[in-house]
Amino acid sequence: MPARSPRLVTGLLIVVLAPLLAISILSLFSGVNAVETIYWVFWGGFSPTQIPETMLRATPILITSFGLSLAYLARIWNIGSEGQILLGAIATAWIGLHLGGLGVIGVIVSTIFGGLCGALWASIPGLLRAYRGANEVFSTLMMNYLALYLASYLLQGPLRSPTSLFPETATLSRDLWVEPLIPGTRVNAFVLLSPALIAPATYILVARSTLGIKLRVIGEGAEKARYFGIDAGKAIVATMFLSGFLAGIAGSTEVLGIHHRALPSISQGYGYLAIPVAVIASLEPRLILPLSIYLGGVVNGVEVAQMNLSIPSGASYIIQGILLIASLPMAMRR
Amino acid sequence: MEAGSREEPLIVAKDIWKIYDGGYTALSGVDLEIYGGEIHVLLGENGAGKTTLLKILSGAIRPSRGSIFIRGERKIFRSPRDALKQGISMAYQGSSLVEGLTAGENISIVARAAGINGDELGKRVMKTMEDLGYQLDLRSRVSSLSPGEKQALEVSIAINAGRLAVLMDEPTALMSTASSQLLMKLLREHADNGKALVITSHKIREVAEIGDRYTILKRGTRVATVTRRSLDGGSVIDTLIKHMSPQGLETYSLDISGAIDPGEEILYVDNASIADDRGIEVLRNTSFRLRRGEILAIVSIDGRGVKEICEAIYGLRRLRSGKIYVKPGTRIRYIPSEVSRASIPEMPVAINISMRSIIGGRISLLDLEEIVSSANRIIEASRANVPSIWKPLKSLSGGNARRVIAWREAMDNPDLLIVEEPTANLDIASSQSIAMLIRSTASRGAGVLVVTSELEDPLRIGCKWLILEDGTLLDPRSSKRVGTIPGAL
Repeated sequence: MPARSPRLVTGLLIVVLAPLLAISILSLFSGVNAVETIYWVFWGGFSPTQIPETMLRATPILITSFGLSLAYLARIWNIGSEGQILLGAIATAWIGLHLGGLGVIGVIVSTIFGGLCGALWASIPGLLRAYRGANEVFSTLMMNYLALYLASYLLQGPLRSPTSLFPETATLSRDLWVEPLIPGTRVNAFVLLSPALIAPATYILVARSTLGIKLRVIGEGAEKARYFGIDAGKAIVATMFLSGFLAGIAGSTEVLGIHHRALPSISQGYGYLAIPVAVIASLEPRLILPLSIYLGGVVNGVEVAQMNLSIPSGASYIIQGILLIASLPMAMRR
Repeated sequence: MEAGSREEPLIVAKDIWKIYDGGYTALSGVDLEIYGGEIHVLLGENGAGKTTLLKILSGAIRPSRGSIFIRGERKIFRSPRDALKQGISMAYQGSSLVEGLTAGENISIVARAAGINGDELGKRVMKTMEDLGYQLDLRSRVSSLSPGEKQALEVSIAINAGRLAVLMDEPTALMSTASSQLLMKLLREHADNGKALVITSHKIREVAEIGDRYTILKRGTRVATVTRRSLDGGSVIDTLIKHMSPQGLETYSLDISGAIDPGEEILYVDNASIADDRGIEVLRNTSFRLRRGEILAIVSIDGRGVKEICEAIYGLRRLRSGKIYVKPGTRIRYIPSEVSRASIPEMPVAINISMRSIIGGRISLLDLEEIVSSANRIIEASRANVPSIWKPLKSLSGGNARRVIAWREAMDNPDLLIVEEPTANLDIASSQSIAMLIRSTASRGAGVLVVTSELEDPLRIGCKWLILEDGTLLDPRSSKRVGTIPGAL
């Protein structure tokens, strides 16, 4: 059913080429051979030894873009995932510190709690859009900064570990750690389960379910939604809630599976990287997994390249920015 | 006074064709004779070609074929300036004034084009404005005038700038009733001085009293031209109906409501006022009722209020005042005039057919079997030509897409069916089958409300109908207002 549209082709070209273009230009300014940089990025992202780390990074992008792709179907432009991930992570760590000894149940409860916090955070711009007409692009983006400073306060203040030198929470009790399943890597259950669950779920919901069609009707505007008997306001809040929930879960997986505590830099821009992936996935849901892995690999590869070449450390941010600027307006155009 | 005699027409339009760039044929071979000293009223539904014909006579657009003669001499107008030079002026629908200039500057532009003295024209325009009940300061910018003032200015300039003939397209649409009446009086004076006045108006009562001759256009052709004297006492409205629908009222009158017991009341509109997006009231303090098995058509000749009334009753538009009562649980279905308002044109035909059940149900996998069988059922009943149910709805022709949506709504067991412009975009055969659909939906026990700008629709359907004019409902036979007292209908 999803039709090949010119928009899909343009979007794919943007997602694939924009990071490489950004890296090349950065190299040029830094006096480094662009070809060499791109080689390191690809080696660092996609050589066999690096694949586990790439998958690790692809996981939060995948989970977040799943929720976003549903929101984007409804033309609700949540770009506040970064903040939702961060607050989901902090919420998970906070409740996790109270759930030590509960094991798997503790993991499940704290994961869902992280999701709920992300969802509530996302519901605020949802409510503002639905009942006050506030443009969610601005409000969700602004709320990323609110989240950042709120996190900064919490991690330096009430939630700060008394024994740590850094602004971070205490480490979770060992039984809440989601341990690596493949020896010698950090690949845990989340990293293995996410692609297996989310890739088909995205396809089914976007292309084969009544929800996908309902979301598209919402995306056609409040008037058409009302024609078909949909309460557009409620639907907007629900959609924001859902996408925030998944972003929050992405934050939870980072805490439980990798860092075992919350820290300010827990999301490496995953909330922004998920945006172009979700833009494409809402047009062609089968691409959600390959694109998540691709951008996970690029982020990983850029870090490797930075270690080997004198590329500025802000390269990742520039890639995120360019992807955002290039993909979102294209998606928003009717 | 220079004006043509009664015997020889002042202006003759012969075999005028207009095919617009998109291929739309607005006029196909229209003849028109305009005499000096007459008020000539052009009548016809939306899209009949009235405005196109006037614009061709005023030089604003050029005909695809055909010729215009003034006092027997062939003329070709390349622009409104050419027509003005020949003494033909036009007041356009809305306004053709330059917003950024003052009233005086606008007048001098027209004066220069017409080759007459600007100050002289200014004085006469001021006088005419006064006659219409407006105070005009020539120094005020057009953009600062109210819509009514702008229209009065447009009309006043045209009346005084045209030596031979003045063409007016809906000149009273934005004027108050008082000013409209003053204008009608003024037109008579100018006609008595020998000028030809050609006017279109949707306010039937207004022009019923003023015209010397009436030309009825229909889908780009002239149906008839009748003189006032030949009307022998019959009302203009009756004549209009007779000419617009040659079969007459009787052939269509198929009394369906008697076939079944008059059912329970399904809709009660109580003293409701409805405004359009600009805030202009399209329905004022009006009440009406609809029972099961009943069909009621509301006809708005100028098309105003059609969409708004439908939307208000379906629940998409807030009332300005009053109430609309439907029993709780009443299943309302609505066929809008544009397919795109009731579908996602980019999605497949089959999905669009099942859209209501897809959206109304719980989240689940799409039931493809059910979707295919519904699609086949609707397509078979509507006899729409659908090459593939998985092609996007927008790949169908306008008429076929409309059929699909109309049958989807009507076959969804409605208690109340709202039909907006039932025959919009449809050919005669399709229009007949929509009429059948409406009748059979009513005979299955639904109340059907038809709101349309096509006078022929209620005749084709064979149902009770009312005219919507100036926000009030009129009985078409007696021209009396109805429904203004709650429960009067």
